[in-house]
Amino acid sequence: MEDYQIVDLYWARSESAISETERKYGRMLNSISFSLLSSAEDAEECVNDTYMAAWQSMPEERPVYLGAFLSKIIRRISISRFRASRTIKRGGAEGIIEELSECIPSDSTVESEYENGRLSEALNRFLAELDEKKRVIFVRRYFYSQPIERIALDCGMKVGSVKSVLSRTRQALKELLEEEELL
Amino acid sequence: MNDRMKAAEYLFDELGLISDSIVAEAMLVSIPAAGRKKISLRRAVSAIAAAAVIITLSLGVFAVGLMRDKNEAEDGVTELEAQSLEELLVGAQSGGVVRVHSSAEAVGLFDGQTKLIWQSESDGEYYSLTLTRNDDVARLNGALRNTYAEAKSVESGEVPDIRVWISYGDGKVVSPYLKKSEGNVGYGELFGYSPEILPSEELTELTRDLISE
Repeated sequence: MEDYQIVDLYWARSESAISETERKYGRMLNSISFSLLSSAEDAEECVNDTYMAAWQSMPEERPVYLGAFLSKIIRRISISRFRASRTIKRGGAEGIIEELSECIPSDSTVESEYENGRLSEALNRFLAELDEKKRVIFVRRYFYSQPIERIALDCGMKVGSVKSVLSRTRQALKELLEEEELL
Repeated sequence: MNDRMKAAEYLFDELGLISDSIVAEAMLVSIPAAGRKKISLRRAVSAIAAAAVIITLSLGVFAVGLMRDKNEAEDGVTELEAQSLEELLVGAQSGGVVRVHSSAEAVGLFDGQTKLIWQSESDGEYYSLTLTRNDDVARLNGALRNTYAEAKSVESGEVPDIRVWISYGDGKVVSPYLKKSEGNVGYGELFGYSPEILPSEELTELTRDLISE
C-alpha cells in the first residue's frame, strides 16, 4: 500500500492504518529502536508506542514521507527510553554518541547556548551540501543508528571504506560547528 | 557525563530534526551512484558466468529429466514431489543434511554461508540447510526474484505453521514469505513475522533437490 493510502486510513480513523503501517514499516522501526536499545523487548514496546503516537498525531498531520515521519517518532521514543535506563551496552546509542563526540569543538561547554533551531538548520544545510553517498551513509549511521556492517552491505562497500567516509564527514561537521560557533 | 559527551548527545538529538526528505532518501537510496558502477561491472561479469553455468546445468537437468520421466512413468509421482515447502522442510528435520540449533544465535548468521533456515512451531527448534554450491545460491536468488514478482498473497487458510528465513552469511536475513521492501530485510537476527506472500514453486523445487541429495 502506498504511503498516502495509509495516511488516508489514519485520517479516516480506520484501525487498519496500524496494521498496514506495521506491514510496511514494522521491521524498519524495530530495527531503528533495536540499534539504539539493544533490547528486543524494549524495541517492541517502542514500536507499539510509535503506532500510538502516529495515531494521535494524525489527522492533524499529513506526512508526505510516512517512513521518515515514523522513523523520527521511534527515534525520539527510543532515545527517551535509552536515557531512562542508561544500562545499554556499548554498540547501541552510547557508541553512536561517542562517535559523534568527535564532531564537538574542543572549547564546547554545557553552558554554550544551544540556540533554538540554529543547529538543526545548520545540520540540514551541511547534509544538503554533501554528496549523495556521504549523506546516505551519515544519515544511516547517525539518524537510523544502523550498524556499520549493515551500511557497508547495503551500499556495496567495504566496512573500512564506510568508517573512513564517516570519519571524514564527522571532521567536516566539526569544522562547520567551529566556524559557526555552534555547540 | 562530561560536557563533550553532553554536547554530543545534544547533537544526536538534533539529528532527529533533519528534513524528512533527507531521512527518506537514506533508506530509498541503498546503493549510491559510485558503488553502483562498480557493482554493475561486477554483475555483468557474474551474469555472463551465471549464464554459462545455467546453460550447462540446463543440459544436465534436461538429461536427468528425461531419465526421471522414464522412471516416473513406471513409478508414478514420487512422495517428495507431492509435498509443499513446509512439508518438505518439516520432513527433512531428521535428515542428515539438516542441522539442528537450540537457539537463533547458534544458527550463525555471519559465517559467510547462505542458508535456508526454519523454525517449526511444534518443537521450537531452529533448522538450517546450507547451500554449498554457487549454482544453488543462484537458484535460490532466482526463486526469490520470482517470489517477489508473483507476490501471491497468503490466504487465511494457507498460513504455514513454520517460519522460514534465508540468511546470506553477512548478517542479511529475508523471508520468502514477506514482500520485497526495505522494512522486510533483517540484520543479524531471525525476526518474527506474519506471512504476506507465498514462496515461488522454484524454492520448493530447490529445497526438494537439496534434501534429496
